[in-house]
Amino acid sequence: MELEITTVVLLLSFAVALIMGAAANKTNFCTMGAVSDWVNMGDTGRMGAWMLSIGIAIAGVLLLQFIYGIPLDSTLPPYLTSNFGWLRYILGGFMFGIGMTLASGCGNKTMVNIGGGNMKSLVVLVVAGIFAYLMTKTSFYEVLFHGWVSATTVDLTAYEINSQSLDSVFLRVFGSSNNELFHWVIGLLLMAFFLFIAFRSKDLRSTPHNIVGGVVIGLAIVAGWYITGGALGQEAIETVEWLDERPVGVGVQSYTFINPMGESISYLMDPMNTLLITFGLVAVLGVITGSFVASILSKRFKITWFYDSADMLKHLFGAALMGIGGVLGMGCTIGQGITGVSTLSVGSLLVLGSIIFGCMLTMKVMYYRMVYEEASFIESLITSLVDLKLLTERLRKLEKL
Amino acid sequence: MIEFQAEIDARGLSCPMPVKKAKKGLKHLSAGDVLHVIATDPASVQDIDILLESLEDEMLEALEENGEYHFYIKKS
Repeated sequence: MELEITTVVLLLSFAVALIMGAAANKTNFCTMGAVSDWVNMGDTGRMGAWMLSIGIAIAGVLLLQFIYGIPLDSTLPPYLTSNFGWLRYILGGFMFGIGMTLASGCGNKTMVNIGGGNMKSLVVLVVAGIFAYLMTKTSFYEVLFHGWVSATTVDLTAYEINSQSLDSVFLRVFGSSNNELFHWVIGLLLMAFFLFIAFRSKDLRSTPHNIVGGVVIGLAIVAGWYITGGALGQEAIETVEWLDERPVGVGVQSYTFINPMGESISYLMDPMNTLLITFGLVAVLGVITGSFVASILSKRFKITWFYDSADMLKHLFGAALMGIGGVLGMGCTIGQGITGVSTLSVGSLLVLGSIIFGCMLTMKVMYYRMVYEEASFIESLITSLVDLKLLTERLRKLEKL
Repeated sequence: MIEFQAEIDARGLSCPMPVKKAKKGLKHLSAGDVLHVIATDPASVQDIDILLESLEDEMLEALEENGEYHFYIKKS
């Protein structure tokens, strides 16, 4: 009887992930593609879709809190923790942004690609999963990251801020005593901001498939919160508390994909242990399955593999950065970019910005190196930083593209 | 068969590489020249459509043959 509740939660999560995978496949929703279209072609359709999904997710979470009182103070991962690891968020996001560009897609796109027959992405999934596993289940993180992450993490409670939500920070700054009002005001303003950015894009407005993609992905994130944090999810959490052997990863959460890749590796190492089947793992399976179904129905399923060893090495390096950066930053383009931001987390906003920056910089460096074949990596990097207005024009090394 | 002045082989490359290569190829052409792009990534179909919209170049023909996508693009 107790296990049935958790099984229902997992099945519902799988079903929503299936819809996510199908929608992402059909509408070509892709966060890396969003940055690529913007940087390379000035087209903001897919970026608009991503921003739209964030706006929808924020709106949905506010509604869930208003109607059901969904608790967000102890989510998996803890998006609103008062331990503000600003440097890990920035560096993790930056690494992830670079990694996803080299690996031809973020976590979600990797799984959508697998569903479409892209076996390169399967390798990316395994490698990113291995590094995510190393970061979360071995001393890899402790040896390489723990020291400096701890040293730079700010305990917000020392400043009388009890969580890293945007409204808590603003509350402290403005010294208001009305927590609830601030929460709704800040939440609605942030939602309006993302919806404004989205619909400001003519490229989004003129492409119905991008609007559909953004809406479906945003609603899927809301559904994830509702499944795990609503009545059913709360009952599952309470039930699991009484078990001698508890399933892993039961808690209030929504879709994120890098840690779940690590969880998938964990499960594959002990496949008879059903306690290792988590929300994240079924999300990975659901997105792949949904994309597979969509590919088959649209007759676009096609097995692809690496072109040559350079292509493979690029993807492997990218996958490693995704696995490490995704855990360091506590999430990916979906996990932090949509799910985390939907909680109004300041850290999530930092990660989102860092991912976009890392991706943009990598795109530019790759393009300069492609056009100017004799240019060095450093020349391409400096020129790219000039393009992004982080260095002065005087330092430009290559003619602007 | 459409005559072309330059060819870009993006076979085996994944997004965003095919569109980057196509953009690079178009840069070196004169107005009226035709670029032939060959790709195997299904995402390249939409990516190249978006590229042409932004550059206002013309797609003369796009076809799929034996798992390869062939794009004949005329520089405006």
